[in-house]
Amino acid sequence: MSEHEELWDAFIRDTAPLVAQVGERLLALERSLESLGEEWREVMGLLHTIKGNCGMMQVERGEELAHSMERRARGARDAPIWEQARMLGPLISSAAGLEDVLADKVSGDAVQDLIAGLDAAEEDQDGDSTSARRAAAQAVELAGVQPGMSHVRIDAEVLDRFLELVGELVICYRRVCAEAEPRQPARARDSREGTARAADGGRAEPLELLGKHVGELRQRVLDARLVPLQVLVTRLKRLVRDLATATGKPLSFRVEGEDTVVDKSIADQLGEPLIHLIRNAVDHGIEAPSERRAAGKPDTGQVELHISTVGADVMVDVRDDGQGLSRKRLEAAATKRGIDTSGWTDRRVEELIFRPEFTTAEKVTRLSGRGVGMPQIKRTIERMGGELQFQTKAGLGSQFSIRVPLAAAIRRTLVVSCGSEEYAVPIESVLETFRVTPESLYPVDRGWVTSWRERVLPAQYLATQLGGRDQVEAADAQLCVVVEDGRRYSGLIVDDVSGQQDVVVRDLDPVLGRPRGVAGMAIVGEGRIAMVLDPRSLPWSEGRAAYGHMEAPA
Amino acid sequence: MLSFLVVDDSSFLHSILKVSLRRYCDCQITYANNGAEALEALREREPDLILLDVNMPVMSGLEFLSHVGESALERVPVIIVSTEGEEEDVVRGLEAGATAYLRKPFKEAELHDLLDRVVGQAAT
Repeated sequence: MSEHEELWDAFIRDTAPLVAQVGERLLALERSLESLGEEWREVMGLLHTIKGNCGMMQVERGEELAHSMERRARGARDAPIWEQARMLGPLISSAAGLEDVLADKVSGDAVQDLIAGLDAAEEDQDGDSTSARRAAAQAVELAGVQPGMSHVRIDAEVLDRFLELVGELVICYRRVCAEAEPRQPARARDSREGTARAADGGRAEPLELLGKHVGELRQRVLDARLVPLQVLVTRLKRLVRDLATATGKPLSFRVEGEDTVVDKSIADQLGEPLIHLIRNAVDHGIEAPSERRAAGKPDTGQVELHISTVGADVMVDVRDDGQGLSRKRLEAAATKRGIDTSGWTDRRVEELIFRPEFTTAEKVTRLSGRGVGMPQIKRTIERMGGELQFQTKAGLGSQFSIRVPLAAAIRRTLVVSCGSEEYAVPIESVLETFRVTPESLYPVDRGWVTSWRERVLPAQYLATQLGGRDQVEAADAQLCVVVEDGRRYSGLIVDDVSGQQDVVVRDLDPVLGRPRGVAGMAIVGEGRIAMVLDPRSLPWSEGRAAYGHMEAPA
Repeated sequence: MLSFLVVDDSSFLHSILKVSLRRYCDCQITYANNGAEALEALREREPDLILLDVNMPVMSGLEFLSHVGESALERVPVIIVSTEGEEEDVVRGLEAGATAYLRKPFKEAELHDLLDRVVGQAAT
């Protein structure tokens, strides 16, 4: 063993455990942000030693990375509690990167990316910049699976990618089924199982099995994305404690339903609005102890968080027993801004607080006057496909109610257009798109048929079917989107296909009723409204049953 | 004025189509009870459109189509009006040269809608 090899061995023996400790402590910090200052000091000490060891061994990458991490950890220690959690991501990624540096299986570029991620997190306290994400993704790639652990950390983006991939897999599977299946009467294709079994002998069984596995894989991926709201609630508890110290108002924080599990994307997006609402409740709602006593209330202000599920939605209520807002006060503020509220319902007056120009706080305080206003919060919730409501009783308190879907209501769709209308077709029901000419369409009953992959495809002009009265003039060439509704294939004839887009599906206004074949509405492109189709309930999907008997001749 | 040839072995269908076609437009209608009679009628006078049943004695609708010849089918559109409603029946009919397919039982509006499209197509 050469001298250098001996030294290297000693360096690794000494440094590797330190790096492992950094990783563990950061993970512990992420799980619970209790006893913070102490924990961060430990991490900084470890990183400092690692930096020194790397310097002596002339492992420049390690030295540089450890240095950046140390600086970042100091920044995190001094940051407000609700920002610390966000800073942990790049640090944890970098800790994995340090391990790889020691194992000498990491490129200089990867280390630079990690450092860029740390710096970005410092500049942009959202910790959300592209380089930070890239660094995180990189770290996952590098770290791989650690032997002997029953849990593996997976970057959230990897989980998102899994969901996308499994979606693509389902689409591929359906295509394969469609191709494997010989032409045959529609009634033999009653179900997906029928499809697989009817396929030519050799392929039927593997296909059926494939379908089963793909289905299970999809469910597992969806389950893997479920997280309890506990993690978020822990952050909020800590936040309330900090707020109590900062404002000098004694507070108690009661939480119900923190074991509710939701899709990760929902949990992530709920953090910001909830932090803001709680800050708002403490700052504007809860009165100073002297005022509370004068109003006959206990000194300690009560903030409550109620989490529950209703159907496929999660409801989160943030309540406080503070001063609330009187109608008079809201109206006065409205008048000052030139809004005439005479004749408005209480509800409508309460909703005023979501207006961009509206804020009743006489002074901008250190805690709440940070620029993130109610309108932004409301928009965030609406972007998630949910809604935010506000109720208040002067002297008794206020309540914000959030209602959002449990799982991401985001669907990948194919956006198509017919005349001036746009429609979004859920991608999982689309098999393919091909060009049709008027000559290749034959009139059958109320619709048309055309041939597709040596099979007869019933087709309809989308615009005609969804209430447009006018018979669409057959253009020279249009596009036919092949969809399946679980029972059979059919074609939607459209003018143009503008591409795939992820949309949040919203319910139609109840006033409009629910036209058949329409699942909801969505915003596509730059703010245009499109109907989201539900191929299962398109008007013609009932087949023959839809045709009645002939009217008796007069 | 449009001229129609109605080919069906059911006199009930003759009456129904008569009423429905007259309500659709001012027209002249010739009737045949099977494919063979239809061929004869065709030789005498070529109509603007044929409404053709499939299951008929003596000569079925599909046989009729195979005897008519392509050139006549290019000039005269044929709507098959049949109780045979499976996908392969539709395919067989269209492959044999029919322009369109209407499954019995049908509503008058369905017939009119189909006529709109077939006559419209033939006109272009």
